[in-house]
Formats: sequence, C-alpha cells, structure tokens
Amino acid sequence: MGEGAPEKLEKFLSQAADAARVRVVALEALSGGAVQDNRLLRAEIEGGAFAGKLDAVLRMDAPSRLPASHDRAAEFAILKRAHAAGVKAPEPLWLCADSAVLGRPFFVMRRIEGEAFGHRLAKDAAERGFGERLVAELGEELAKIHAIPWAAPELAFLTAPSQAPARALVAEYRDFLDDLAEPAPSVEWGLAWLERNAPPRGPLAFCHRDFRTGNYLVKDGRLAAVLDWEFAGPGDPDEDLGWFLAKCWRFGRPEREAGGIGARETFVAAYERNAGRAVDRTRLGYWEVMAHVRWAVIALQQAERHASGAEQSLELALTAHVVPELELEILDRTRET
Amino acid sequence: MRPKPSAGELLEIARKTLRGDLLAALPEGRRYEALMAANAIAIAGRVLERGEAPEREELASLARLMGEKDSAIPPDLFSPAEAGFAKAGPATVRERLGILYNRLCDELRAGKIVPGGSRHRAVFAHLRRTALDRLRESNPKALPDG
Repeated sequence: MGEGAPEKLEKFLSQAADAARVRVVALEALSGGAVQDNRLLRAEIEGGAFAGKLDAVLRMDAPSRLPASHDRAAEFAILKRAHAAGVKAPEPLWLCADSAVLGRPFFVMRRIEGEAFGHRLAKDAAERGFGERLVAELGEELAKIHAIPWAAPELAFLTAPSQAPARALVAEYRDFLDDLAEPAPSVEWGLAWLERNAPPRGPLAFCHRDFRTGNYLVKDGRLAAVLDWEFAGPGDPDEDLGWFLAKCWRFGRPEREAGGIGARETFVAAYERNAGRAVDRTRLGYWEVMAHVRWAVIALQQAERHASGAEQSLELALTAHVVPELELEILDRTRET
Repeated sequence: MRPKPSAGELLEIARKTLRGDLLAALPEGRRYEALMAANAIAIAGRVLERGEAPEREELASLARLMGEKDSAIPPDLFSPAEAGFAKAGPATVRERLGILYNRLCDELRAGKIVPGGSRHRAVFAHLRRTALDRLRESNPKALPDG
C-alpha cells in the first residue's frame, strides 16, 4: 500500500459511511486466500448511521487474477444479492472501484467471527463431535444458495451456459490449459472422460463454485458464514455438491467424505430436504472428477502466476505440487480399462 | 571438489532448523508460512536427490508411446555429444517432453484415445506411472498403499 494510504482510506470510508470522521485503528493482513488479498480493518466512526467501532474485512483484488474469478465490483454485487436472500454471508458494506485509494479496487464487509482453516476445522469436528450437524447445516445452506434469484439487472454480468453446463466447463478448462506454458496430459485425459460422460443440461441454479471446507466460517460448531463468492454464477447445481464432496477437500480426513467434516449422506440428504429436488447420487461421482480436474487447472494457473513472475509467492509456487495427487485421483476414477 | 555437506544435506539441515526452534519462536500467525517454506525445501531436496533419471525414464516411455525412435531421447546433457545433438532439434529432456505431450494432448482432445483400445490402456499406464513418480517428489505422504 502506498504513501498516505491510511488517510486516503479514512477519507473514502468517511464518505461511504456518511460519517463526520473515520479513524483507521488497524489494517492487518489476514491469512488465507491465495486468490484475493484480505485484510482485517478496524476503525472508529464518528457520526452517521455506522457510528461506533467498525470490525470489518477489506477484500482487495490480488496483484494478478485467475481468469475465471470475478473482480471485486462483481463479487460485491453477488455478495449483496446473497446476503439479501438470507444466506449466511458477510454483510457487504462499501465498494471502492477507484484504484487511487489503495492501489487496487476493494470492498469492505462486516467481519464475522469463526474458524475457516480446513485442517483445524476437520480436527475440531472429529474431536468435539459436531461434524454431522455441521454438514447438515452446510447442505441446507447450499440449497439456499442455489435458490438465489440471479436474473437481476445488477447481476447482468453473469452469463448462463448455452449448452450443457458440464460441456461448457470442459471447453472453458481446455481454453485455460491452452494459455499455460506447458501441457497437462493427465488433466486432458480427465477432460476427455468428462466430455464423453457429460450429463445433459438440466435446470440451472445459482452456484457458489467454491463451496468447500476452508471457505466457510464455523463458530461454536455452527455454520457462521459462507465466504469467497468470486467464482459464483449460474450452472448445474450438482457441480457445487461434487466440489464439496471431492476427496481433494477433505483436509487429511478422507473417510469423512463431506468436506473432511461428516458423512456424505448427511450432507446430500440435508441438501435434498431443503432444495426440493432429488439428487442422483450416481451422478455426483462425475462432478467429483470435474472437481479434481478444475482444482488441477486452477493449481496450474496459480503456479504459473508465480513462475511467470506475475506474482511471486511461496503459496502459489507450492500449489504446483498439489497437482500430482489430483492427477492420480483423476486417473484412478476414469480408468475404464 | 565441492565441499561437504552436499546440496541435499544443506537443504535438509536448513529444513530442520526452520521446523525446530525457529518455528516455535514465530508468532502463531506466521507459522504457516514457515511450514510452507519447510515443505518447499523438502520437495527441492527430494527432486535433487532423484536427479534427472525420472524425467529421462518418462521421456523414454513417452517416446515409445508416441512411436518415436530412440533418437527422440537426448544423450547425457552434460556430455560433449550434446553440442552436436542440440543442432538436430530441441535439446533438453523437458523440451522433448513438452513436444511429445502436446501431441498426446491433441490426440486426447480430438477424442482419438477411447476406452477399449490398446492405446487407451498404454496411455493410461504411462500417465499413471508418471503421476505416481511426481507424487513421490511432491507429496510422498499421499502415495497410495502398496
């Protein structure tokens, strides 16, 4: 952040909150999120509707961006919509599209207390026994997310796939692979299988697209908020279920198939009860392969952000080394020989 | 003669130092970074220890799969013969792998490798062996049993 940033931020916040004066007390890096830059923001607000202490998170565009992710303005609009629909999500407060304030666009949302770190949550859930209740809550919440009305003017930037969503994703991931410096044959193998076995187009839903352990907050064993809305958009609702259940998001607890937290059936049944639709369990396996392929593509993109020099980061660099495990899972689930 | 300890031994003691007292002395919020750094050192150590052999074997297997003659496999990169070989085409193992994998990817994308055929089996076997081999370096804890 450049010289005079706190003053510029205070000025922006005063105007946004319609306050007499805003004093930034703390602005610290928050861990988590290789894609976005999150900071804890504490401020004292004098006057206006927000008068008092502000405990918030400032979410900024990262120096480089994944092609599939929304920018902050789009994510802010999505978060507003989700919050208004009653989904457990942080309350979005203000968007600053002006790069002159902090160097990059950002938005501010109210901070919600809770644990997001996947390994710690998986351990806590096992030791304290709240896993089944939590995955039932998560299933219920995902059903609410899928019901978010997305055909709204402020979400006009979202585009629905014109073909079967699975086929659209295969095409998208192939495009992403084409932009990488080196070939990824095991991922191509997976994409060929996904193309041959693609489910037909069904009713679309508003998908979160990053609904997994690590991207929600838990407080006292209960779901507090769903985070990271930067990939959300219309798609096949089973995509979100497959992403949540995929083996790559179980944080060292592979036997707990729902996000390393609880049982698969608890999650799926809770989703079904609240979504008002039956889930074809045999089809979820397809979307779990899609999940591994997608994570592999994203991991390769992350690694290239580092390797190309666009954004030097240890976390991005190490992401390249999650790929072999994903490849093995893709291959073993698509063997057919 | 290079001094002992070797590069691999240096990485190992650097990793141990990082994971020992240093980690404990760090504030809670910075420990994850230190663990990531230790992991990066461990991966580099395993790659260094195994040397070029895995990628050479991968290239030999891939060249057979793609119907290339043995000439697709470059000789020892550090031998004098390399200078002559380089003129004939892409010199490094990595470049050769890239070229042949691009061809394989084109076939996969064109839907030419379908279940039931012997080529489908051969491609699968090569990719799986290679993924396992990479996993030995990237994250050996995730290797399947047996």
